[in-house]
Amino acid sequence: MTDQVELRVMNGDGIRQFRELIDDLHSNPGMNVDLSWIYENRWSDSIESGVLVEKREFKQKLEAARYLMRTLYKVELVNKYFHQGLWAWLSAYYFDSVCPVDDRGERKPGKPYRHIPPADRYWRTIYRHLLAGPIRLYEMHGEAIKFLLRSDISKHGDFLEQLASRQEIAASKGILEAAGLLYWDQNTNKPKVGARSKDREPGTLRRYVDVLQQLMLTYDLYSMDGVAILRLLPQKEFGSWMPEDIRSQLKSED
Amino acid sequence: MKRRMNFTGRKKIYRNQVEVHLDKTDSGELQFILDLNWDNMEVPSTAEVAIEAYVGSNVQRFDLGTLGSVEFPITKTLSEFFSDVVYFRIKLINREDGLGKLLASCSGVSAGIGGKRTSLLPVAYRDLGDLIWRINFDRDVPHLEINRQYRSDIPIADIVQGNPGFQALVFPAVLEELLTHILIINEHTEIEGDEWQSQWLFFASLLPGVKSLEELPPRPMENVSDYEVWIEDAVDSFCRRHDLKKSFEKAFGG
Repeated sequence: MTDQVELRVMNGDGIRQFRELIDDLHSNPGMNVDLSWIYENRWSDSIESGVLVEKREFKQKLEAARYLMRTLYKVELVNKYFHQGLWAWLSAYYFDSVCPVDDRGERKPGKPYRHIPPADRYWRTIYRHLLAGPIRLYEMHGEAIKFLLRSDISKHGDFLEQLASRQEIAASKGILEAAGLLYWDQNTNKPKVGARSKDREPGTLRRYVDVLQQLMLTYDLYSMDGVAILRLLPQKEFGSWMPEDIRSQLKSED
Repeated sequence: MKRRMNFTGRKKIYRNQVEVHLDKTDSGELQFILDLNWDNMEVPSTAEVAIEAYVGSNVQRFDLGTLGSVEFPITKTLSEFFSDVVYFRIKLINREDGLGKLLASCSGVSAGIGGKRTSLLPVAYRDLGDLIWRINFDRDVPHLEINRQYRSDIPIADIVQGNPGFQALVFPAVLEELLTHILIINEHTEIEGDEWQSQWLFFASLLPGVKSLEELPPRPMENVSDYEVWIEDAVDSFCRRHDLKKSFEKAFGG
């Protein structure tokens, strides 16, 4: 029998309690974490959606995105992908996935916004929530950007940060598709070696973002698909990162 | 096919050509009413109109059809926003070239509930003796103060808002002074949060080619040169992004 419970949202007291727990973990990462209180009315509210969530252990963001998208579609909450109480509760419910115990018996939660989405005004970190961020991207772009979500759910990751932190980029399916064509190794299911260089070496992901921001001054990249965006990139710099068939095609057009 | 990175023939849509109001519907959703005066824009009526509403990492796009077919003002519902202030980007796009080149655009147009608008740098007109402008840091947020004592034939408010020569000369200096004040004098390096300092750092960190502040050593006072280089990069990028050299040439060229 699967272990499932009714979906709830944390109230203000619950969010404070959860934040304290995250703070405590910073000073005592080996402490025992008891989250049984998240089902109590004192700390969370029922939303009477009839939605049940299954206890699972997610390894990758993609697994969580697929499952939660499917599960939450019936939930009628205003701005549900940005709802602080909903995503705080889900983070606590899936805490073993988003903040697992490591080999030394310790949990490293990182910054609170990874587990508790920002309140209304603190919108800059909303994409860094370990569950809501990936699911929002998946909701916008579906399977086309699954490469972006094939990484450890307990880590935000630099690859995702570079693309998700800028709304003009994160909102454009074509830009993300092109990033996948350039930097994702289909064989290893990981970013290509050197793609994430922090030194802005020619053709790397950071340079791609820089060049995009220049191209956005001239083109409406939002409406283009991935291959159309690759056509706009300088071949000399990005050609070697492109898939062979696209590179040959672009060469023949030159 | 030749690809030229920095060529842009796009026109600017000036703030006085756009009017946006934000309101709440009876069901609590946000809606905006946007009017665009394109009479003197020299853009064909076949240009396609796209409006992008954005707050932080959240963006919602509206493709409205051709300019000639849109009946301004338009009213649209923002189904995924919860902020009291929303920013807008307006794009007029040439689809006939098969590329989606921008014919005219503007971004950062803000609208707030009840007419509330936010500006990172409010402008105030003061008696400043022989000084043309200065930044006043003594208020809750820094203001760009402009001398209001000029001959009556000098439309100083128009110059500040729309004169490309003034903008090319003053805005980079303003940005440099603000970032120096924030990073080196105040030693404020926190990009998260709602303080004006964080908002400016966030703005600067999104400029093309500007590396993340997290890549710099901590404690600016002990690493002044690293922070000075970062500020210089941000100002350079700001000038490139807004074509300020071209603005200067346009204002003062023959």
